[in-house]
Amino acid sequence: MQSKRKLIKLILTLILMVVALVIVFPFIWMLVCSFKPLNEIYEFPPRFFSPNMSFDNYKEVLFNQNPSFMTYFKNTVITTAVAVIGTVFTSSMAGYAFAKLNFKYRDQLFMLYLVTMMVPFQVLMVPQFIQFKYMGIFNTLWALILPRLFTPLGTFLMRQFFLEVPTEIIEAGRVDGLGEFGIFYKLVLPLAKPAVSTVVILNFVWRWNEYEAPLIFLTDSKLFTLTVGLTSFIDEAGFAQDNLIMAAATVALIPMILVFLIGQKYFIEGLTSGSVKG
Amino acid sequence: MGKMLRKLTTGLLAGTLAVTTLVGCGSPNNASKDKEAASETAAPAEKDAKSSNGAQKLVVWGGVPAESGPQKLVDAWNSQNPDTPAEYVRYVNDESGNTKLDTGLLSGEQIDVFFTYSADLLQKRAESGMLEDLRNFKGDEFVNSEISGGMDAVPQINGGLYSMPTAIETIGILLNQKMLDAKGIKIPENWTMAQFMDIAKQLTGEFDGKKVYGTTVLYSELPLPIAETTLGGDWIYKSDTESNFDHPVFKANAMLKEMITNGSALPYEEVVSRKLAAYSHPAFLNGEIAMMPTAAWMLRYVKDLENFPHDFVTTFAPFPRLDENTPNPYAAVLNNHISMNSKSQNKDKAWEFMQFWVKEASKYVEKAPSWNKANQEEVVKLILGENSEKLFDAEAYKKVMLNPELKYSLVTKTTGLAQVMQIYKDETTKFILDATSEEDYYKNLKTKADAAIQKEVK
Amino acid sequence: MERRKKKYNWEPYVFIAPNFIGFIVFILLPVLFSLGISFTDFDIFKGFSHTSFVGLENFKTMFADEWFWVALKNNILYTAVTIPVTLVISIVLAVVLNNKTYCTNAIRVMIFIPYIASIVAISVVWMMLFNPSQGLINQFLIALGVSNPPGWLGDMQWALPAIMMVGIWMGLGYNTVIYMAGLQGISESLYEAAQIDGASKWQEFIYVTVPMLRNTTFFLVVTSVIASFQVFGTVNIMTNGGPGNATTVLAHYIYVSGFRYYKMGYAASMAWVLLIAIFGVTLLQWKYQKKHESNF
Repeated sequence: MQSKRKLIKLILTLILMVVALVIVFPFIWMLVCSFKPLNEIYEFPPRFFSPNMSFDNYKEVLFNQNPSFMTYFKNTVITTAVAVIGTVFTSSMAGYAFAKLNFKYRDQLFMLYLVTMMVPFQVLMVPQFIQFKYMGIFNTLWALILPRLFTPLGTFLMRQFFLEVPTEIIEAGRVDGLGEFGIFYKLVLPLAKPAVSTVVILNFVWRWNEYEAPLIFLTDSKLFTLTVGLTSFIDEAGFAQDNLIMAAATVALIPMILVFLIGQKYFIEGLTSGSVKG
Repeated sequence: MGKMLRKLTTGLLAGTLAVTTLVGCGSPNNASKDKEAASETAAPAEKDAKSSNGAQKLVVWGGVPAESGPQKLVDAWNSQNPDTPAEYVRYVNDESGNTKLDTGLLSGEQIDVFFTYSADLLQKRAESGMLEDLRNFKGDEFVNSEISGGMDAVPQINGGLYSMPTAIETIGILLNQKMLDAKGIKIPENWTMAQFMDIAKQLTGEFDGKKVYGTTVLYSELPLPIAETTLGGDWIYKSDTESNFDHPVFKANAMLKEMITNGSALPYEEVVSRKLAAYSHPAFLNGEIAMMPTAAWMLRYVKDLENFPHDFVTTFAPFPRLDENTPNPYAAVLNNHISMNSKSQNKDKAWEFMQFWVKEASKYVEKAPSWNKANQEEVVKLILGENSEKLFDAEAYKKVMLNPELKYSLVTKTTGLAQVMQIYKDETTKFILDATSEEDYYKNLKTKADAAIQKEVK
Repeated sequence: MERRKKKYNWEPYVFIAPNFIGFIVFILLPVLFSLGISFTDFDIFKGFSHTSFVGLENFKTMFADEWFWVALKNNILYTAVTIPVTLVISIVLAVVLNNKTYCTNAIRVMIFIPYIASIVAISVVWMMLFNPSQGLINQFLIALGVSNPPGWLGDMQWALPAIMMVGIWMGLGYNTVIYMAGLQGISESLYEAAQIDGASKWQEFIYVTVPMLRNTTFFLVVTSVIASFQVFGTVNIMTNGGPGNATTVLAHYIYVSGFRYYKMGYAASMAWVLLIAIFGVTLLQWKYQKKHESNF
C-alpha cells in the first residue's frame, strides 16, 4: 500500500514536471534565442544550439545602450519599491477600515473602489496626462509612483484578509483601551504579514512590468523603465531586434523570479490565511 | 443590497452631472489655460521659457532615433548656436507616441519644433491650431527656392503652410540580382502586373537549397501600392465625399491575391506572424523572397551585414503598372514634415533651426533630402554606403529611385482617412484569406469606405 | 455586514484618508472626467473650448457600429473560453500539487513564471512559436502527423484561439497558486468524513474540494472577468486586432478609436458601456456568492 502510494506520487510528479516544462518552454526558448544572432532566430529548421551562440546580445544590452540598461534598472527599482511600500501602507489601513470599522457609506465606498478597478487604462490615459501636466509630475518618476500608491485591488485584498481576523481580538483591544490605531498597529497588523506579502508580490509584479504608463508619461529616456527599455530595440519602422529583446527580457525577468522564490512562502501563506476568501 | 445600489447610482449620477457641467463650460483650470493659450499667440507669455532654467533652448521632437542622424545634426546646430542649443527628444511614431506628442502640445509642454509623418495627423494638428503658419516667416518663399517640387509638392492646409518636408521617400522594388541571373531574367522597362506575376512565378522555387518565393505582396500592411503610384496622393478618394475603390486600378489587388494563391508570393499567415506585413527585409535579405517592395530609407538594412548577412547584389525596379496604358509615376512623396509649435516662445530661432534641418539633413540623416541643392552624388554615397558595389546596383538605384520623371504623390484629402485605411486593410486581409469573394471584396470596400467618409463629412 | 451600535467616531476616516485622497485624485477624477467626455465629441486636437456636448450620440453610434459588436463578441468569447479553461486546469493542478507530488515548490515556481514576465517579452516569444512554417508549434504538430497545421496569428479562424491560449497560459500559474492556498483552508475532517462514507477520490473532488473552494473561485472569477475584459497587451502586440477584425477586443477597439481615429469622446463612451457591463456581471456574482455564503 505504502509503496503503491509512493509510486503514484512519483508518476504524478513526473506528469506535472512535463506539464511545468511545457509551460516554461517559451522561456527556455527565450533564453536560447537570447544567445543567438538575429538571423538565426528565424532560421529553418529551428535549432536549440548553434555554434554562433554568444554573450554578445547581453553585452550589447547591458553595456552598449545609451542611456545604459542600468539606468532603466535603477528607475524600475525605485518606482517599484516606492509604489509597493506606499501601497502596502495605504491599502492595509484602508482595507482594515473597510473590513472592521464602521462608518457612513462604508460599503458604498467600497463598491466604488471595485468599480474603478474595472476601468481600462486606455480611458484614463488622456485625463491622467493632462492632470499630471498640471501637477507638474509629467515626465518624472512620480507620474509612475503617485497613482500607484492607492491601488483599489490592494485595498480589496487587504480587506478580504482583515475580514477573517476574529473581531474578538479587536474587542479585546478596545477593552484594554488601546485605541483604534493601537489595535491596528499592535494587534492586527502583525497578523497580516502573509496578506502584506501577497500585496507586495502582486504589486511588485505589476509595477515591475508596467508598460503603458511609462510609455505615455515619460519622455526623458533617462527616466525609462525596463519594459520601455525593451522597446528601444524596435526601430522607427517597427522592426525589432528580437535577439536583443530576448536578452533584455531575460535580464528583466531574473529579479522577478528571485523575488518570487524568496517571497513565495509568505505569498502562499498570505493567500492561505484567507486573503482570497470572499 | 438594493438600497446600497440605489445610493451608489444616485452618487454616480450626481458626479456625472457635476463633471459634465464642468466640461460643458470648461473646467476652471482648463478654461483659463485655453485663454492663456489664446493670448500667448499675440504676446509670448512667461511660463515655459522661465521654467527651462532661464537659458533659452529649443526642444525638438522627432520619430527618428537620435543615433541615426538627428543627434549629429543637433550637435552641429548647437556648435553654431551656443546661445540657443537644441535638444532632440525621440518619440515613437505610433499611436501612443503621437498621443504623447499631441497631449504634450495641448498641455503646454515645451516643444518648439516637431516632426509629423502622416498626412491626416498633419491636417489634424494644423486645424487644431497647434502649428504655426510658416508663411508668417516667408516659409512659402523658402519652400519654393529650396525644396524639390516647391509649394506644389508640399501639403497646404486651408491655404496655410504648416510644415516643410525634410525628406523624399521614393518607393520601388528591390530584387536579388543573384536569383535573377540564375534564371536569366531581365526586368523590362515599365513592366506590367502581368509581367510581374510571370517573373515572380519564375523566381519561385528552390535556390541554394532554400525555398524561395518570388515576392511578397504586402507593403506597409497594405497591398503593393499599384493604385497609389497610379493615382497619386488622394488615391482613395473619388471626391470629397466618396471613396475610389471602384476604380479599375484596384483590380491589381485581385492579381496580387492570385500570386499568394498560386504560391509565387509569401503566404499571408507567414507574413503576419513574422511581422513582415509592414516591411519584409528580413525575408528578402535572408534569401527567402526574390523581390521586395521598399522605401529608399530601408536600404540601411541591406547595409547592415551584421544582422542581415547576405552575399548578393541588390538591384532596383519601379512598381509594376496595371497594364501598358496605365502609367504609375507617383512613386515619390515628400515626407518627414517639420513643423513649429504655434505656442513656441522662441519662434525666430525655431524657424532658423527648421531651415538648418532642411539644408543640413543630407549630411547626417540617411534619407534622400528634400533640399533641392543637396549634392546628389554625396547623397547617393551616404545612402548606399561604403563598398556599395558589393551590395547595390548603383546605376539601377539612380535610374529607378532618382528618376527625374517620378511625380510627387501629395495628399490633400484626409476625411476619415484612418478609418478608410483600416477598412482597406481589414477587407483586403479577408479577401486574401478567402473569407470574402472577389466580388464582395470590392463591393464591401466601396460601401464601407463611403460610409466611413460620409460619417466624417456631416 | 456587521450590525453594531454605531457611535460617531473619526478614526475610520483617518484610516481610509491616505488611500481615499489618492483614490479621488488619481483614479476617481480621471474616471469621472472620462464619463464627462463620453457625452461629448472631445478629442485632443479640439481642446476643451471646441468640444461640444453631443448627448447620447456616442451611445447611438455605438449600437450601429459593426466593429463595436465584433469586439464585444470576441471579448465575450475570450472571456467565456479562457476563464473556465484556466480555472479547471488550475484546480486540477492545484489538487495534484497539494501533497500528492514531490518537488512541489519547484513545479509551482515554474508554472508561475508566465505571470511575472513582461507582456512585451511574452508576446515576442509566442509570435516566434506561432510562426506557421518555422515556429516550433507547427513543427511539433507536423511531427505528430498533422498535415495542414493552422496559420495561427495570420489565420482568421485561429488567431483568437491563439490569443486565448496565451491568455490561459499566463493565468495558469497564478490561479493554481491561489487554489493551492484555498486548499490549505479545507479541513482534513471533511475528507475523513467523506472517506468514512465510502466516497471515491473523484467524489471527494466533486463533493468536497470543489464546493469548499467556492470562495476562492469567486475571487478568481471576479478578478479574471475584469482582467479579461481589459485584455489588451497581447492583442496589441501580436495581432493588432487582425487579421481582419478576428482578434479585435473591446480595450483594443477603444484604444484604436481614441488614438488612431481621434474620437476620444466615443472611446470613453464605449469604455463606460464596458464598465457598466463588468459592473453588472460582478454584482450578479456578488449577490450569488452572498446568497451561498450563509450556507457555510
